[in-house]
Amino acid sequence: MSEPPPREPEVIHRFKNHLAVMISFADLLMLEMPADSPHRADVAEIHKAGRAAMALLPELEKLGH
Amino acid sequence: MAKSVTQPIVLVVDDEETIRQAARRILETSGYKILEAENGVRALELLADGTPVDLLMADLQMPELTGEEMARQLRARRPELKVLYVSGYVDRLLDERPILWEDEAFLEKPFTFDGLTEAVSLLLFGTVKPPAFDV
Repeated sequence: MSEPPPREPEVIHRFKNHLAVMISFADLLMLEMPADSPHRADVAEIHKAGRAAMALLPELEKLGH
Repeated sequence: MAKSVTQPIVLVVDDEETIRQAARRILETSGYKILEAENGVRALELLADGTPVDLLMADLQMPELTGEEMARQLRARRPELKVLYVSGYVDRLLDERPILWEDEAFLEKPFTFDGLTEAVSLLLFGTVKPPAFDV
């Protein structure tokens, strides 16, 4: 028998964990890479997208209620 | 000159390995010494031999033993232990315990570099920026 799909709070919990990892490592890269690194703008975009996804979390949580 | 303090030790307890890695990298970058445990039972075992720890960073939702129960058991043995609950379920904790104990705080996931380092420093030193550490 297959496992039941995860419930909405569990899905959001997992999503928050993935976001925490994404934002944390982007933060670390921004901190540690040289100011003139050619990759800096790319990492900044990852960071920006992570922050934007974080800002959407309250809306996502409302959808589940 | 600002006074330096002994390098603080943080025990990171989370069942997600990548979360532990992220917390380790952030806090090591900020000068802290890090210990890790993948669940509450392992954390209790780790500290059973008197291993020094200044702050417990605890996920709330973990298999076997919740973060809150783990912290309760550890603080019964070590009342001076500071506890930072880090979770996507902070509302649940606050519903059950609207007032946290002294030396406890919470940080909501997803955390950021600044959010985590400031929360840890506030609990340990009462300031968002920690003093210099003796390593």
